[in-house]
Amino acid sequence: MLSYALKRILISVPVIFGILLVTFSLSRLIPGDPCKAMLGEKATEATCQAFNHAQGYDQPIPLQFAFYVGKILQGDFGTSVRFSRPVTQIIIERLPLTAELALLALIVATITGVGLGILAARRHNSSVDIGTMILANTGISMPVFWLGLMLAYVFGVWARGTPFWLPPSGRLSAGVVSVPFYQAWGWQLSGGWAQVATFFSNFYIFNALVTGNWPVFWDALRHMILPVLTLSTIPMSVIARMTRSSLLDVLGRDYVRTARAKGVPDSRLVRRHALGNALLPVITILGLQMGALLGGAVLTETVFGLSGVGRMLVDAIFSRDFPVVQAFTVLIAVIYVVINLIVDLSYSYLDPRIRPQ
Amino acid sequence: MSSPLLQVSDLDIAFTSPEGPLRAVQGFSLDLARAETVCIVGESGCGKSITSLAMMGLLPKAGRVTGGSVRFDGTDLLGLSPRTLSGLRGNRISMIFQDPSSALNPVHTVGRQIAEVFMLHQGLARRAAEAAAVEVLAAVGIPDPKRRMKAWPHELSGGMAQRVMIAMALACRPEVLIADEPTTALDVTIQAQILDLMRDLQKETGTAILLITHDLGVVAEMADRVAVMYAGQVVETAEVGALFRSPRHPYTRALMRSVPVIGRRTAQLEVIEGRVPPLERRPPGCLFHPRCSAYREVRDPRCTTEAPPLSSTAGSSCRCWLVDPEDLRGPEDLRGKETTA
Amino acid sequence: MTKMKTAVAAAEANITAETLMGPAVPMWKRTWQRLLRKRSGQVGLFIIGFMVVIALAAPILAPYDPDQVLIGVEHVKRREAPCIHLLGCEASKPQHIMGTDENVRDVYSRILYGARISLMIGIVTVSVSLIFGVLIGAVAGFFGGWTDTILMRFMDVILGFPSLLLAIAIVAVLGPGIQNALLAVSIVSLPAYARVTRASVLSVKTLDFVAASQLLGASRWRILFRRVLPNALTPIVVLATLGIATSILDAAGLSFLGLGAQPPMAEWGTMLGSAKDQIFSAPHLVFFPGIAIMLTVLGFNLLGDGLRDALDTRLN
Repeated sequence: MLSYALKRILISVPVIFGILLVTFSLSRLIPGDPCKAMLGEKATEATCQAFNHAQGYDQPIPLQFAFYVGKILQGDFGTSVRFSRPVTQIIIERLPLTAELALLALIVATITGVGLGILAARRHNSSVDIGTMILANTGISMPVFWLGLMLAYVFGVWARGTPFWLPPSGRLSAGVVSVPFYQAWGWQLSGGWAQVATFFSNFYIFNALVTGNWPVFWDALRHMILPVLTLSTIPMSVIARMTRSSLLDVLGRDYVRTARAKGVPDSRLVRRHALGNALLPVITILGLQMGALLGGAVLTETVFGLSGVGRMLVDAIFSRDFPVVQAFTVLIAVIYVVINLIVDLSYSYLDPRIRPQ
Repeated sequence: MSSPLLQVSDLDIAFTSPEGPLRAVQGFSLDLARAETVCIVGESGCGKSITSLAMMGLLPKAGRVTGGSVRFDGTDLLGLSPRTLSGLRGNRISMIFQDPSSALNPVHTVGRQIAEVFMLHQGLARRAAEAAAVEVLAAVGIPDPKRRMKAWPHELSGGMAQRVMIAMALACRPEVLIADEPTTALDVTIQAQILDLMRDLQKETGTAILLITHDLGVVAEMADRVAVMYAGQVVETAEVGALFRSPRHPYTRALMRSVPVIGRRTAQLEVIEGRVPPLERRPPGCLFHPRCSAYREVRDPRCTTEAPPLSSTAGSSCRCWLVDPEDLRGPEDLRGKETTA
Repeated sequence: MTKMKTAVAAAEANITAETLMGPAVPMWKRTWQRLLRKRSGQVGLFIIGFMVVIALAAPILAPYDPDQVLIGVEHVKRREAPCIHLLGCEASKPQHIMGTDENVRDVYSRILYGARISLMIGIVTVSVSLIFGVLIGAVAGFFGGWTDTILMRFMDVILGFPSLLLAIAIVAVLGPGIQNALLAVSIVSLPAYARVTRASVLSVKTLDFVAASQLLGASRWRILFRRVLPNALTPIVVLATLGIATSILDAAGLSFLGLGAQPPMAEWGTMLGSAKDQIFSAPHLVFFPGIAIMLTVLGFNLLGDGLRDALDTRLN
């Protein structure tokens, strides 16, 4: 197991290296002078020279790359041109929102997707099955951002004044303040620990949960409902289709017949003998779905006015804040690779046929 | 034999297809007494496996029993609720299958799959069920059963996997064991071991075995009585000795001539020309006549127009226009041929 | 996009010598008949046919020029709600069945013309990624060794990014615009074709008939194009059809963010993007372009599913 895990981790290293190389090259492919591109056309020769020297742009390219990788390994993602702040600081502020959104969406997508898939497979060719598949096919074909806007309209405008009204934008209602857990508990933190604590306290739902601050918890949760619903639609549809076809396949296998022949009742059959096998291929696509979630987060955050890394990334493109674009691209890609690594490892742990002894 | 343990009468099985229902098995009847072994023999595609699955209520979705009954110890299995039926399956009637490596659940350990039978039918707790499972594993001749309990199906050889299947099937000492081509997927030496094991366990438990096979060698070794199937129908039944001594139906005779016999040199092994006709293209009259050598010689018009009935005499039956029901041997013209062969 | 990735993985696993031993060119006629028998194939073909007709006949069907600003031409206001005479809209007001947009243009005409752009986007991006993807995969699989390692590692890196994110990053560098967006979407969907092609090339390479061709003195490139590639065609046809769907969706996403097609182009994603802040006051500006995108994407997804069943390539 350990050697397999090690091997699998080693395989991801070149991919991550490649990701760094690609993002680095992209930033050097920007047409024209990087200084002019970032500081604007009005930048003077002197400021540009100072800027190029500060950023290391006057060094040979391979050295620049080594410099770049070395800094990232130390957790230094450079400085935002627009905000004049370390990008790492911005990540600590913005990433928790995106992570919270993507994680909740993944949970919702997995639970409803698997549930719908099982329902459809158990009633194969019934109206339930056909209805579920129409829903899933529509879900896969839907532009995420359009669904978000329509949901915002339906729940934010139509449902105004009813209990079904949901906030169509933002993370918290005006006047509601999330108190970081370390402040609530009166911790005195400094340096790296303060950064880590701030990072986790920016998961508002999690933070409100551990501090037992229920008004904030419910408010944050209510604000998350529409974005999560929007973001989870595509993965849910993919997972539902996959679960259905996989379960149908498994239900026709010899070992399911064996289980019936030894007297396993139908109710237990799916749960104990078919589901385990059927969900294995579903696990393999969860990692890929995370890609859809991270890409979709950019669109969802734009629709719902949430300032996570996705929204920041788009803003940074328009304000030509390339250190931020570069850092966020690397960050999201590495998160994606790591998630797929985890999925692969757990798959190999769950399937006895490929589990190394 | 007053009342047989398992009595199948006039079983009809149909498959739904885009072109309408297809009759896969027609008027299948068979009796099985306690501690007896009956073989169903025939080429692939003749409906043997489908018949055995139908008896257990395990037909695939497209298949349906359209008539007849399967009486087990007095009750018709086809009329039972799914719940009652699953109480019987694996408990009083068991089944093992052709390909043991795909018949075991790949994500459960061997021990867990056997123990489940005890938990389902004898209400044992996990611990007790696992202890019982170790015992049956030992009984089917698996070395080091305690360690094997934790093995995964993919770690077992075909022979070992089939032993596990047998252990699972015989765990509750069932009255009937239906074995669908249990040795087909195995090496020849392993085949013999598995058959020996089945016979030994039968002696011990008194289980009646319904053995489905296409291998006449297996029939000779195991059967008390034999039913020969062709294209969804029983064409001949007989006590095993009688069948091998004097096969009556032209199909049975053709089957026998297609198998080499140790110790006897035959000029040439015969091949039955053609194949079992597919479901949607069953010929009129006797289903076997397009391939029948007896028909080719006699050209009896009934063979192509009317389906022959299964006419029985003491302990045996045959479905052929050309066989005299009173004559225990086959048609005249074929008898001469055999001596010259 | 992720749907395609899953499909690729399954296709790679499924390409065995056995599936490739069949006739070099699948029986297209039988495939067509099977496709027409499947519900997904029927619906998919119908939707795509409908969209193609709209795209071709847009000048005839559209009541207005899609870019014409109607201020001073008619008595309409900006972002006016749909007015359909049949449904009781006053006859004195000019009919705009999908309303007007922020520049007082007829939304219905813009939607019709948008079909041209979306279909063009789908076909162009898939063609570009198909040509380069197949070429890369074929070269990697056929020549093996270092060529293979370098090319496929590079494909792995592209697959290492969430596809929309990489497309965004590429556009960020090249600058917003429809051409750059198309290029970006083409690049991110390239590895799918490369991997499937490589997998089939690898399995065909070992087959006897390829060895026989070599013995007969056929050149490597000739073997590649005449014998090997036709065998990889089946999964690629399915992938390409699903690929059109994801490309249209990804390109619309880029346009929505303002990174793809730029106003005043009548592109559905762009129309959505410029209307997103008016969702509460003028929901019709959001509703119709979204439906149009969804319908087109659904058409290609269903056709892809139907083709997969008809061609019997198990891609999931």
